Amino acid sequence: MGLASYVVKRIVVAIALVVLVATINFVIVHLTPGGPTTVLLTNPRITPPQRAQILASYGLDKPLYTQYVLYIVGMFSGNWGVSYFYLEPAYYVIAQRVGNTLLLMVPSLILTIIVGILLGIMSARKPFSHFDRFVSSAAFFFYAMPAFWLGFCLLTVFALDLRMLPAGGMTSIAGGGSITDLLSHLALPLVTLVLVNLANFSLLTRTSMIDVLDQNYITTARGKGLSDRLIFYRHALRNALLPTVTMTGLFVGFLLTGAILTESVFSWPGLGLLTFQSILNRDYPVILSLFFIFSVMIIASNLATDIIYGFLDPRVSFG
Amino acid sequence: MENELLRVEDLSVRFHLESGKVDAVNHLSFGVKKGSTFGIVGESGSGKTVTALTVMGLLPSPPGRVESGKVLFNGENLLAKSAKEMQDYRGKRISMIYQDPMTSLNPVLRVGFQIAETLIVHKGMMRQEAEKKAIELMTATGISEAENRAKAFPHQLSGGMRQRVMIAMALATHPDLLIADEPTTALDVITQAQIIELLKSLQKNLNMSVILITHDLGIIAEFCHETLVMYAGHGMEYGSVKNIFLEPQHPYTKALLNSITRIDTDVEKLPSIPGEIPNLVNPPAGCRFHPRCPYAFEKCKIEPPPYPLEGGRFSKCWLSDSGKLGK
Amino acid sequence: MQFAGARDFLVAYSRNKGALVGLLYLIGLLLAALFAGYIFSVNPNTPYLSRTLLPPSLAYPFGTDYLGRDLLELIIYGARTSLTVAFGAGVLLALIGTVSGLVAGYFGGEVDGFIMRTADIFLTLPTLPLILLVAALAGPSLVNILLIIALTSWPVMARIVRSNVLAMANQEFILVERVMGASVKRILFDHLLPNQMSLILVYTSLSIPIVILTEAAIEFLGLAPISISWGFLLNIALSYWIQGAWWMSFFPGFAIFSTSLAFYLISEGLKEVLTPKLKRKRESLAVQLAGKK
Repeated sequence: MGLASYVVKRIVVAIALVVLVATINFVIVHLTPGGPTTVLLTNPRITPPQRAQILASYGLDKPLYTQYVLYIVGMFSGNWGVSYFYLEPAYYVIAQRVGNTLLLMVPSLILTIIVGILLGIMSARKPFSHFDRFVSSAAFFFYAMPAFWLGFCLLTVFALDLRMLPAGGMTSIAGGGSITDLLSHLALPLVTLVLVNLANFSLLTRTSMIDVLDQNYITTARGKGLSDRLIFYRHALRNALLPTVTMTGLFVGFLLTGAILTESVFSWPGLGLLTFQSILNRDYPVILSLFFIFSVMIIASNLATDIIYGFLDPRVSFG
Repeated sequence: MENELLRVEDLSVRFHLESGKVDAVNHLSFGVKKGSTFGIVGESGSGKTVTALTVMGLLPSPPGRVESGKVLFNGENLLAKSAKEMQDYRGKRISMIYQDPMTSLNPVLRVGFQIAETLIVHKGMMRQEAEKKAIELMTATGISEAENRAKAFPHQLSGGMRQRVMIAMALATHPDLLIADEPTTALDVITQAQIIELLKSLQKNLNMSVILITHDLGIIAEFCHETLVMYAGHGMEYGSVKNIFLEPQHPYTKALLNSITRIDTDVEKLPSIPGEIPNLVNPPAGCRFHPRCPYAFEKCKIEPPPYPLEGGRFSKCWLSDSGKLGK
Repeated sequence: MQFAGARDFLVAYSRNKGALVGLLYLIGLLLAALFAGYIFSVNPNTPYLSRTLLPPSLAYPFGTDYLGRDLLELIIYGARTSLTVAFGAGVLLALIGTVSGLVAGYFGGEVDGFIMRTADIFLTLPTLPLILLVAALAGPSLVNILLIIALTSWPVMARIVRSNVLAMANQEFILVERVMGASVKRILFDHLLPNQMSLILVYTSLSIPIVILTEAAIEFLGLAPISISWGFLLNIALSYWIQGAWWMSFFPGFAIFSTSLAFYLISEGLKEVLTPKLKRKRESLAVQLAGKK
C-alpha cells in the first residue's frame, strides 16, 4: 500500500481510539452510583443556580443516546465539564497547565532520545567491552528506580544539603521570570526524567545495532570493501534506528507517567501535579478530563511516530 | 605458476565453539587460472563457503581462525594483509555474490546507489557519474528499464532481478576474480538458467576468473573449466571438469555422479549416498568419507594425502595410489 | 535446556553473581515479611507521639515517621503488600497471557485474529491514564491494583507465547499427536505448554519490576492508599521532606528500588540459564557456516 493510504488508515484508527476513550469516560460517568450528579449535589460549595446550569449542560433529561452524542461532541469541542474544586470549566483548568507540562516533557524527550541513542551506538561499536557493560548496568540500574524516589534523592542532595538548586516549583518570586531562574528549577526534574528512561533507548539501540550487524547485507557491504565507518553509519545505523522510532511512540506513554510522578515530587505546576491534587480533592470532572487528555496525547504521539516511520522505511512507503 | 591468478596453499581453518573445535577446512590446496571458471562442489558442511570467505578476508574472526596456509593472489599472500589493505582488494579486485539476494541487499538503500557505491569508493567517481554508470551496468546484466529500476528498493524487485543487481554490483569495478556462492540456489529453475547464461557471457567478455560454489553438478558441467570436490572440509578430488565427469577417481565423486538422476535411464529407486554427513566436532578418523564409502578398507582410517595424477589432477584416496579405480 | 534436577539448575543459575544476589535478597525479604509479627511488634501502625520524626539511629535504623512509627517495621510489613502484588499480578498476567497465546497460536485463523486484536487494544489503550481512572473510581484495594496491572500487561506475554507456539505447532510431534487423535486440551497443555515454560518464567520475572514500580506509583499518587505500603509511605513523606526528614522518603524508596532490581537480576539469571541461545548467537553463525557449506 502506498504511503498516502497508510497515513489515512492510521489517522482513522487514531480518531476511532479517541472516540473509544471518550466513550469509556461517558460510561464511567454514568456508571458511578447515582450518576454524574451525586457528588455535585452534595458539594456545598456549589450554589443552586450553578447546580442547575451544570445539570442542564449534562442534558440529563434527554434520552441516553442523545446524551452520548452530546458528550462525544463535547469532548471534541472542549466542553469537559466543570471542576468541582476550582469551579471553573475543566478545560480551562487543564489548558492553564498543559504548557508547563510540555515545558518539562519535550526537553526530556529530546534529551533522552539523543543521549540514549548515542550511548547505544557507542556500546554497539564495542560490544561486551568495559564501556558497554558499564552503560548497560547503569541503564538497568536507573530503570529499576522509581522516578519519584530518584527525584526525592536528588532534591535532598542538591536542594536541601547543597542548596545549589531550588526546592521545587517552576519559578521563584525572587527570580522574576528570568530564563536562568526557570532553568534552575527545570534542572532537577529534567535530570530525573531523563535518567530513569535512558535505558529504554540505549538498550534498544544497542540490541538493534548488534542485530543489524549480523545481517547478510552487512557481509555484502564488507565484501564491497567499504570501510568499517561507512558500513556502521550508512548501512547499519539507518536500519537499526527504525525500531527506535517505533519506541518513541511508546515512550511518550512512559514519559507521561514519569512526568506525573516527577511533577508531584517537585511541585511543578503542570498536569502531573494537577492529577495528584485532583485525586486528593476527589475532583472527578478534572480526573476524567485528565484521562482524556493523556489518552489523546499518547494516541497522537503514536500516530506521529507511525507516520514518521512510514516515511523512513521504504518497505512501507514504497510497498 | 604464471598463469595462476589465485593459489590457495595448505589452508586450514578452525572454529572454536563452546561445543568443541570444528576443522572446517583442512590443508586445502588449489589454483585458479586467469580467465577460467573454477567450480567448488560439495554438500553442506563441506567447507565451500568458509573457503570463499577466507579468500575474501570475511571470515568471522572469533570464532573462526586460519590455522595455517596461504592465499596467494597474483603472488601476494592475502592472509598476511591488514584489514585496511584488504579493503582495497575487496569489491575492487575480488568480488563476491551471495546465495540469498533478498537478505544480501540493504533494504533501505536504492539498488542503483548500492551498485554505484563501489565505484564511488574504489574509483573515486562522483555520485552522479557513478549512478549513471550503475544504470549502464544494470542494463548489461539484463535488467530492463534500468533507469527506473535503479531508483527502486530491493523489496520491489523480483528474485532474479535482485541477483542481477548483485552481479552488477560485484562487477562494477571489473574485478579480476569473482566468487559466486550458490548464486542460483534461491531462484527458480528458469531464472537459474538465465543467471548462469549471464555469468557465462560476462565471464567471457570481461575475461575474468570465476569461482563458482555450488552443490549442483549440472551447473558445474555447464559452466566450469575445472572443479574441486570437497567433503567435510577436505578437498577430495580436483581436475578438469571433463576428466572428473568422465573418469572420476575418488569414490565420493563417483557416488555424487551416480546420484544424479538422468532422464534417459529408468531407475527404480532414487540413488543416494548412504549414511550422513559427519559431525564436524567429532569427525571420523582418517579419511572422512570412509564410513560411507563402498570401497573402504583398513588403511582408510589413516588420512590419505592428495595423490597427484596426470595433468595437474589430484585425488585424496588410498586407492589412487596404484590407479586401482578405473571406471 | 534440561536439568538433571533442582540442584543442577541452581548451580547453573548461580554462575551469574548478580542473579544470585537477587535471589538471596528476595528470599530474605520474603522470610522477613512472613515472620514480621515475630521479629517486630505486631502492629506497626500504633503511633508513639513521643518519638516522632527521629533520624536513623541504632534504636531505629530507618528512623521514625511523623506518627512516631518505626520505619524499619513499616517497611518490612510493607513488603507484604508489594510481594503480594508482585507475585499475584505476575501469576495472573502469566496465566492470561499464556492461555491466550496458546489458544491464538494453536488455532490460528479467526480465533487468533480476535485474541490478537483484543491484545492490541489493551496495548494501545494508554495504560497510565487507564490505571489512574480505574483506581480513582474503584477505590483502594489490593485486588483492584492486581487486576489492573495484570490486565494491562498480559498482551506482551500473549504475543511471545503465540509466536513460539506458531513456530512449534507445525513441528512433527504435534502433527503426530493430532493424527493419533489426542484431544486439543491434551495437545495444548501436555505438549505445547511444557516447551513454553522457560519463556514464560523468564518473561514473567522480567515483568515483575514494572509491576512493582507501577504499584508503588499508584500508591504514591494516593490512588489506592494502603496504609502500610512503600508507595504510600512516600506519599506521606512528601509533606515532611521540607522539614529535613529525608529518611521518610529514602528508605521506602530504596526498598522499592532494591526489590525491583532484585527481580530484574533474577530474570537475567533465568534468561541465561533457560534460554542459552541468545548467548550462542555468534556461535550459531559459525555453526551455520560450517554446516551449510
